[in-house]
Amino acid sequence: MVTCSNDVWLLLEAEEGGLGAFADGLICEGRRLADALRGELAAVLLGPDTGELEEALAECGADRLYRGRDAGLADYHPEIYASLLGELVREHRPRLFLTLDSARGADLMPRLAATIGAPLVMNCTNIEAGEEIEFTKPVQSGRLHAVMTAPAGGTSLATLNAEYLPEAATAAPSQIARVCDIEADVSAIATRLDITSYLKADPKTVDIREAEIVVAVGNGIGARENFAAFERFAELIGAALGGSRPVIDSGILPHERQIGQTGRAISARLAILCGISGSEYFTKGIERAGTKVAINSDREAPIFKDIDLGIHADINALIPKLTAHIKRGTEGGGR
Amino acid sequence: MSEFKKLLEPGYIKNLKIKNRVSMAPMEKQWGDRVGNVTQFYIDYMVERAKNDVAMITMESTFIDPVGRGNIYQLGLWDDSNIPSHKRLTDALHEFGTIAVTELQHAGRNAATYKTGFQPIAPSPIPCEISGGYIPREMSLDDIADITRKYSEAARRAREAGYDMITLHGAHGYILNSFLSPFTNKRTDGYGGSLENRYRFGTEVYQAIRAQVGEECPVGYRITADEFVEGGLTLEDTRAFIKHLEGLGLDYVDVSSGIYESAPMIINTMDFPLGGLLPYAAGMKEVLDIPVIATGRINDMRFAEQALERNEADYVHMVRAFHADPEILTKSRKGEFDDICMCNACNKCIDLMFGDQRVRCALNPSAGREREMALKPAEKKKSVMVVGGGLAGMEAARIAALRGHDVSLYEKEDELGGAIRWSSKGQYREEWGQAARYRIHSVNKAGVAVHLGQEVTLADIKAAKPDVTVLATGTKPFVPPYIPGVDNPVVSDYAKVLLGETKIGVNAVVVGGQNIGLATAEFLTEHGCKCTIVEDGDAIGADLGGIKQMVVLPRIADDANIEVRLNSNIERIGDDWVEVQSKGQSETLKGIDMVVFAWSREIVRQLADEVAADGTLADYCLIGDAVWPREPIDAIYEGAMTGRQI
Amino acid sequence: MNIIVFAKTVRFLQAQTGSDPRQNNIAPGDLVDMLNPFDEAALEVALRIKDAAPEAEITVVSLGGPSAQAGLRRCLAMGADRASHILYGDYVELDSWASAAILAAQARRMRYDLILCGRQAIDSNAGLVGPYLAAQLAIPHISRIIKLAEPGSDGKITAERRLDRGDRETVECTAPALLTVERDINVARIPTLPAMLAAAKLPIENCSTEDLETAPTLNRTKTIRLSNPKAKRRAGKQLNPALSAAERMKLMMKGGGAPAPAKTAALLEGCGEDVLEEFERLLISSGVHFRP
Repeated sequence: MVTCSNDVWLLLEAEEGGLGAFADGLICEGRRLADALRGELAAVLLGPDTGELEEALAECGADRLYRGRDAGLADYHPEIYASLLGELVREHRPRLFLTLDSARGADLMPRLAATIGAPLVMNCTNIEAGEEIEFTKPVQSGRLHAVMTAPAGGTSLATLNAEYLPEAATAAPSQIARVCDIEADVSAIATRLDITSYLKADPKTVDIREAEIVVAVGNGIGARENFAAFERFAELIGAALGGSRPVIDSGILPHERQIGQTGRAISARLAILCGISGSEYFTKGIERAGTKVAINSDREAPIFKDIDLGIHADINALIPKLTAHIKRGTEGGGR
Repeated sequence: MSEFKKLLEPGYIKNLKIKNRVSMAPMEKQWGDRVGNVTQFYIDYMVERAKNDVAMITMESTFIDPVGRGNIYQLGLWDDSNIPSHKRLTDALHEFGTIAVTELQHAGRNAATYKTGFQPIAPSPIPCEISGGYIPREMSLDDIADITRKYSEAARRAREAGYDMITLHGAHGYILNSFLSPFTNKRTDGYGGSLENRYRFGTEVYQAIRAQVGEECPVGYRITADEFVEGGLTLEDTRAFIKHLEGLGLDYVDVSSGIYESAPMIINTMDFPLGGLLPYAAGMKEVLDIPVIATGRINDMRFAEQALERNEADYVHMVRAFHADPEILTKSRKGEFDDICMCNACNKCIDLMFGDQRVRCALNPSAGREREMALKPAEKKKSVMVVGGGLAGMEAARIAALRGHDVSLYEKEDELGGAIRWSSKGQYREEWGQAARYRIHSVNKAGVAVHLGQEVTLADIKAAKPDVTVLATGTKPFVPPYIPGVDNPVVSDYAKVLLGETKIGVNAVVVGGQNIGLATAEFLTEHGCKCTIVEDGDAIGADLGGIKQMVVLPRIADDANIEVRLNSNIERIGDDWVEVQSKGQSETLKGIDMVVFAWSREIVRQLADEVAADGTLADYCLIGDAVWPREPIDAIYEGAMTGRQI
Repeated sequence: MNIIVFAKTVRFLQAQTGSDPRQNNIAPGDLVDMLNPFDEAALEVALRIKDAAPEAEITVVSLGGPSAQAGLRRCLAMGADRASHILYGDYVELDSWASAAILAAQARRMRYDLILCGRQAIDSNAGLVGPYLAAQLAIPHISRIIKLAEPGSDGKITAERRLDRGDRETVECTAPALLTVERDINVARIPTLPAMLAAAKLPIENCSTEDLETAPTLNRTKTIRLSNPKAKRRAGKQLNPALSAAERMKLMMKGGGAPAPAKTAALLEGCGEDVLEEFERLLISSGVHFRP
């Protein structure tokens, strides 16, 4: 039987500007399991450095951080990632190696499992580390949950369902992780797959829950005629349009574009909230959004309570001006 | 519609097929007769909902013993003579394939002597102040055996009356709850003290009922997941108890919360989040295998579907939602969300119930009057002119148009809504917007010709020559002209403030501490302004309704930016000061930049007076707040009746 | 071109009509044997290749008990050229790795340019047999295919795969390769009655694990129990014994969870150039690409 440590390893994903919406929840779960196993929590992040990322990482709550900074790791390549991580796991033998059940996680982990010959459970809704490690996952298209185990002693792999991750109270003890650099010659890894193009989703048709950037409009929009300016702005920044309940009620946007408790919950990286006062019916729908900008003509609006940038202004004046400002810039300087 | 995949999937409790996951929760309506029989209008109400595909209906707390009845016109199964009327109800529901559930209740310490004629009984003599403070008699062992037997007999009657399932009402501080809880059970015998002893009564009652109805009949338990009182039960305690009953064969659990001392947690007002109890239902589900029914302000099928999709419950209880719109499920399924008259949790229904009156619905006047309020096409098509686009005017116009009349509606503002325009402002009151939203949508849909921004004069009416004129001109804020300094620019009124027509200052005096005054004060503090409420009576919020008071008054008390002065009047107003008089003592408040009158409403009746004086209009009527300022329930009801009588 | 489609006959829980929640409300009639719809979509991909290039040969391989026969007949009726059944009664006991090992043994006896299978089976929801099979055969694998270009004569395979947030990417490799497909890549054809009658008479190659000279390898994972699904949002804070009744009440009124510590940001005023600049900077730092 292969022996291994009691450590829990997480593979994090870098998104533009940060660690992505579910990183906190993943780290929270990792910490819980590492504590249960009496091991350390290590995080792995592949891809070149960016300033903000380094900051987020230093305080992510892990004991150790493994960084692969090679430029060849900037974009996900299944074979390169699987080979590199395979080496790493073989060397360090964590008890658990976890990542999110994202498109990337679901593609990578079976390859990694095959590379190192480890058991893998996909799309876990819960993991309990007792005598044995028990993995719970949906089966029969979600009608049932199955509890699975893997033989003791070796490394086990799992992907975690994002929906079931704890709504993370941001990791409290912000210890600074020890950083270990991964030395590897990425260019020497043989590949058979060639990723030739990346196609962004069309913000006009993408499901609002999945949209990367969302412009949400609320009651502050006033007359229906003002809406065209927001459509132009959304188009300019590649955002999907959504609305709070009053805007949907008045028929400006269809029901499937409603954000909030009786509508959809968005997970956008960037949400621009225009003329939305910020009642709970709405804010329940943006809990998982990343960067939030709010613009409201009422400086006491509750929406200003939890945001990254607040602007006290009339949206119907600001948004057309901003659109013109950006257009001038792009046409003039070609940013 | 695939949008409701989970909600529309059949479920099984024991061998009963439940056709979908939507259930109506027990809601006391005071619609029985004096001895607990079901009335015809009770049946009509339930049939209207069963017709619209509700899978399962739990009627209401049904008393098993007159000593433990909770309400004067509550349903009962305490005597064999109750059986026939209940049988008529269950037969009617079975016609539509709806599962009929009864909920057996003994109110225990929550019973009030003025309703029952008896001294209440309870595990320990701890009175419930909320229901009148009658000191209960501590139950003897004979009492306990007697109540257990009465539960079992009521269960037999329930089966004979055709009920498919039986829920034990173990929530809300009633007798089963009060035995389980260390808050109300201070006994030192075998029924109190240790966990096992506190479990005993509930277990015995469950087992007696199970022995009576056999293994085939599903038996469930309604539990208060958290009592929300210091020293009371928490989720940890209650789910352990249900787990214990599950081991004895319990078939389902219905998860509620609160006791009378924490009454807002039983029936959440619009101040609460949607589905606030879902984490408790989910917490039950964590440890149980049996189906969990979630309850608590679930007013939207889309929200309900999400709750099921997140596996927080197996069934959803929605009752006020069906009270306000019997067709909510059928409309949602067709995607007609705009057509739904959505419950806004104003709690008028509950206020009426606690006030010992028949329960109605503020938004849906037909609730409980299904037969008499059924729409009949007009015998003769008439032209109808409705003046005033508030709730009363809109409802009259909508109903008249639906019956085939030719209706035009005139509103002097640029939007419909009347008083709702301002009363739906502020973070705890915006649900009132739904009441206007639905009526504006349905007025347009019914084909009413809506004229906005037009103030109607007598000459206009005479020129238009309608067959019928409905005057629903509503109210406006009353600013008493006799107070010295009332024309000072710092003076405004609640409507101007709530509608954003006045610049909000930093230090306001709000005159009036009833509903409108509190709404105005909270709106001002939300916008960064400190407030002093000047109320001439000796209490604020007296017109709020009991449960609403338990929510709003502590919130006002906690708000550091609101100061309340009772028994006080405004004497004089200056540029930046107000002189306040209380019991003969005068005091000048300085640094005031707003004086907001939110005290009383004044009827807008110039047009009505002119019409009356003129005396030539053939057929006209005056309805709504223009008759006398009251509440939305009255305005909508009068509109609904007027629309039906034209 | 030789194509292998691996198709599983699943034992799918289509309803829960049983009376006993302790048995997860499963009644005998609730489980149905059916061809995995993801695999059906994979077969449809193969059939469309064959529609364009009729010389392509499609073999469907299924591992399973006797129930797999009906699934294979359906594949034949849809238009597959050959069907092969690896009879293994205890297939439910096999985990993904062990199943892939048996299928790999069969694949090694065959000639193939392309292997297709569904992204996952709707009963086990594991999504592992495809990638494990590719690894054991040491051929490239592309996952979550939603579009496949017509294979060229140069053996180049170009596929579009689904990513998160509605994005997609194009991946290329050379044959032989294994592709796992999404269910909505196409709408699979429904076999006609004559085709079904004809398929009933077509031979199905039967073999056992002994014939493949392989024995089931050790399972890497084991299912120990099934339960009804648990809630996504669990009672966490509600169970905190340190909270007073008043605190629990506040928690409930906030919708069940204390919100994460609020981010506070300074409020900018108006629509001046400085505000526009600041706003634009935030857009750029959030990775917005302007599309004039």
